[in-house]
Amino acid sequence: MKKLIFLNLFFLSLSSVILAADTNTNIKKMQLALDKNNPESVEEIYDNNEEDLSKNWMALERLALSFERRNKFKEAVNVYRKLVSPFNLAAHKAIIDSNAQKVPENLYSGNKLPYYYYKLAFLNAQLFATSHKFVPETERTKFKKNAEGYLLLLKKVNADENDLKLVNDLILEKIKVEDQMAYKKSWYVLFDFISWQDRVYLVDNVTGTKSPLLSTAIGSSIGLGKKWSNAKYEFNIEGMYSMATSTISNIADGPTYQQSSVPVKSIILGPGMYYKAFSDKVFVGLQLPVSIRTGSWLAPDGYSLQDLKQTGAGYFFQVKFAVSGIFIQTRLGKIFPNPASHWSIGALYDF
Amino acid sequence: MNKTLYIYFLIIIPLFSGKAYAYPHFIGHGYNSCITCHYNPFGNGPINDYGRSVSGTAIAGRDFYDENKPEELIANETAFFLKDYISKSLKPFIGYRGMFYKSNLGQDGSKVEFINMQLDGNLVAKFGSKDQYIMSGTFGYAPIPRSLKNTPAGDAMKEYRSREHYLGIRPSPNWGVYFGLMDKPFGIRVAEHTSYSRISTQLTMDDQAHGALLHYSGTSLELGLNAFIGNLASKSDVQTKGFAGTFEQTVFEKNRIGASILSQKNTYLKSTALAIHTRSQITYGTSVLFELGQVNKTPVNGTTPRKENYALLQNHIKTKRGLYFLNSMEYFKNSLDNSYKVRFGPGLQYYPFSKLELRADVYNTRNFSRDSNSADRWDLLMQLHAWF
Repeated sequence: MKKLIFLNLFFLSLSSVILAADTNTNIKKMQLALDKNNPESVEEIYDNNEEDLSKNWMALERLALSFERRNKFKEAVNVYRKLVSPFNLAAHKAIIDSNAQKVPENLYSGNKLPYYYYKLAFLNAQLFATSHKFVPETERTKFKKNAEGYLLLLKKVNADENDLKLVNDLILEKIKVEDQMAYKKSWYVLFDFISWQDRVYLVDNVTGTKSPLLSTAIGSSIGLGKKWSNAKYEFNIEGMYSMATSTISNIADGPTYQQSSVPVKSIILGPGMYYKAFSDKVFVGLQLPVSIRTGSWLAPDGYSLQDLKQTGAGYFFQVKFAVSGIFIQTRLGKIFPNPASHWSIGALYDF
Repeated sequence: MNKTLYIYFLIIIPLFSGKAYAYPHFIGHGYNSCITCHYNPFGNGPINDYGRSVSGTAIAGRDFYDENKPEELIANETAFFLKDYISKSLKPFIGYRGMFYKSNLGQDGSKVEFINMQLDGNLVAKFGSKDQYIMSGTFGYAPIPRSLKNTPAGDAMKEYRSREHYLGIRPSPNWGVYFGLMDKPFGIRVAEHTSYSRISTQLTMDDQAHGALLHYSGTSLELGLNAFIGNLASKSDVQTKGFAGTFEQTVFEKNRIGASILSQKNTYLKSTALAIHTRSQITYGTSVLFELGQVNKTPVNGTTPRKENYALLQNHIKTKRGLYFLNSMEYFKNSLDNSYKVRFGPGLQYYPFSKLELRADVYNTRNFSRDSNSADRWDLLMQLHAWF
């Protein structure tokens, strides 16, 4: 009987030795795959021997590294979390429970918790930094909170200042970028010098003959707009009231007609956008206005004027640049059915 | 005859011919002063070795280069193609400008032309222990301005002539004195010689004069004083004599404010011009220029004097390396005809690589008058500029 027990123990220990030898061989293979920059093989080796390798911290570390190299940060985080708990559960709990700014060295000098904390903080920060609008907000918040949590633990275990800064900067940079890309609402006022040309028709009341007239107007505009802007784009909707004086005359055959200093008024409304591709101070864009215009031109006896009031729509190419808190803006475009271009130069002020 | 001469002085510079190569908007790249890149302290004419390098490595694009090509190699290629066979003291330069021009777009009188505006050869000789002596001579083809063709003034001009030749001495880096045929220092020397700021002041492509130029360039202040006696190669009655002066002060690092004065007279006309201007960097590669001026012109024969006012606002936007968007707006008023003009000029400027500039501009000009009314004028200009 004793012999049987002895033989059983012998084979048991022999199989343990063989198993340990297999585990070490696999870990060596994993390391070799990492050295050869072949991280996919690491996972393959692990998967084929998971039952044994999942109990070995050296194998898990290599698996985590292989995930990192393939930017599989979530998987790497899960592995490092295993390495923290259950592998170093007691020390980890003691560090969490401690209220001290720096925990006693014996809690982390004999294990690799500072390294795992750093990895977990860094990888969670990476997950947060690379998250985008399709990542659920709950998950993004979780990454950020986890990164901040492991940062606190890192501070307790006397981590390197540069490591702390690196992780912190990653989080802050992402917050900054998100802040820049978030659309912010604001209002602005604008003052423009503005010019356009109108086509008006002089109609002979007896014959009904229409003669085209051309009116050239120049004046000023005041306007108010609301904009939604981020670091790259600006969308706006604005309204302007323009007061101009015009000279009108015939430019083709027909009755001679000429008037100057005639008041013309218009309201221009519409949406627009700017693109800040080149600099945060230089904007290039397009405005899509609709306009309502009235002119106080007078018809001579026997004639009447057609198109004294007119509605139109068109486009403006626009450029603006920032100078000391205000924007200088120029626009060149056309409002149909006007016969010529519509341009303006002015200043905008955000408030 | 008087009418012809009046036209000559009223429209002394024909539109769309001649040379134009001053680039004051490169303050957007941090180059406040012309002398950094040009031999002439107020720009224009050939560029020096440093200017050639800047043109290749900061101004021109990289679209046609291998992405791994070092900037140093690109800089080396900006040199004159025979540089290895020529002394370090001799700096040759060849420049060509041609323009496709379509006038009055969409109108019955629309015309299409190709104009060879300039084909110049230039040689700069530098000598002295610190290259303090400079001789520069430019000779080449320059078309007779179209408004002067078949006029006595035009007949007196030659199509092959020198537009610039001078001797310069810089006893110290700050001070220089130059003698010869040069452009007059005044206002912002924009590239567009058809701009009102250059037409009204009579400072376009054929308005150089023989004279002496004093130049000072300090840490933040730059000034020039020029006394001139006219272009001695032209007929004596149209040689303008007088003086010009300009200064620029750097404020807030990448901004310059300046003022200029010009007084000149010939047998037919006396004129005095005053201007103030600013040049500012908005962001790297992007700048804005502004000039406001007044020119008083008094015909010597006693006919009515006139006052001309002009304004120029030009925005030069770097969209990417080598590609710029230009946005110009100009105003011009002549007191005699009780009217004024406003011109909008959006354009694109592309330097695909060093030694080549391509440019396209559209000009929309509108007349404002209490007495008459006219349709807008639209012009298209496409320019090719090559230099070696």
